[in-house]
Amino acid sequence: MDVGTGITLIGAGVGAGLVAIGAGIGIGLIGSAAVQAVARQPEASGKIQMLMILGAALVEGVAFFCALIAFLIYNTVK
Amino acid sequence: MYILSISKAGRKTGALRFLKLILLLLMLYPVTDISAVENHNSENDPMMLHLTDHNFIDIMGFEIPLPVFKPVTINGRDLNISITSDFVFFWIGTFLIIIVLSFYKKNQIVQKKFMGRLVETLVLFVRDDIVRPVLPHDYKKYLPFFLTLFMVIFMQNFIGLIPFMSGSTKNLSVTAALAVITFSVVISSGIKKFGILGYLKNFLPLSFKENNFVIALVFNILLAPFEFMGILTKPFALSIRLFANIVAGHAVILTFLLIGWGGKELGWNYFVIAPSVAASVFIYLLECLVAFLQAYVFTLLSAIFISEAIEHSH
Repeated sequence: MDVGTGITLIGAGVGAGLVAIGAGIGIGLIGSAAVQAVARQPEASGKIQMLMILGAALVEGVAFFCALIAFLIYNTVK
Repeated sequence: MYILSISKAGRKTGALRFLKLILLLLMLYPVTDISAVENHNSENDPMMLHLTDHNFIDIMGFEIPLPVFKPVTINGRDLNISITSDFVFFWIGTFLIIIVLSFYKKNQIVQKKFMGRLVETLVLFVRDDIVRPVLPHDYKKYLPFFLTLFMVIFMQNFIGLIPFMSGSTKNLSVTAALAVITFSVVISSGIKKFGILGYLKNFLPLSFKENNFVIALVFNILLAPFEFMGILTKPFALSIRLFANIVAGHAVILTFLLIGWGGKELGWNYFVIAPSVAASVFIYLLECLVAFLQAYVFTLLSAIFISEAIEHSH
């Protein structure tokens, strides 16, 4: 394995890691906001849960785009 | 009181039976997948063997061949129309859904048995938690579409978790087809409601009547392409989300399973197998949740897109 391949693989790995950081922060914020909202208004928990899952799914979708790109880089190099 | 106690007892046995089934499948899953990898001849990468589509069904290294047809040439391009494993399992799942749901369609009385309760729960979940909150006025018109969508995705996601079977939602073509169906329903329902011109007018963010004409013109010319692009990126994001969730989940399960696998020459490291199977069972349970959640998210987002197309009126 030459240096260029190694650097490309490092790029894919570091990119996937950065995406994980961002998605983690995003889903954490969504979760904390949802918990606060349910604590303030327990009777609206159903609606809040729906919105929470929706937001989490959108964040997760972005994360999966980037994970897919990292996977593609890995496959082209390999 | 008597009825209540009966239904409680029934629920208990039904749930127990379901748990037993899941435990059985869990025990089968690591064993069968490992042996399939070990006995397989034609592919070197076990991950790719599991995650891609083939023209055979693999059962513990024993391959059942599926019919291969000649490619059809249209405009100089070869279209491969032979039957693959994803195709087979897609139709198996769909026929199961058709048979079960048409049986319970005839029996209007609430069934006390396990299957009837499961079907009732799923249908009521789609109606009360997905479609009715999002489309309160005309949910009855769209309910069949969302039920079909939910049932197909749910079935395919769970078929993917059963040993020897390959759920077709790990194939990008299948999820893209589902997203295109949603896209066409969104556009056709919008056109049906407003007419073609009225629907195109919904892409303009500012109306000409309420605002200054020049400001509205500038803003509309700048922003209408983005609104139009939003319509096109939605189904794309929908298909990629489902596909990537399922593929990533299966890849994680396989990664944990194959920790002790050192390739054809080295073989297995037997000391790692017990913890790796335990970890993969944990991820498997997580994937059961994800399989349900992704069906829910796909249906919910489709409902939200349709409600945007219908209720977006100036």
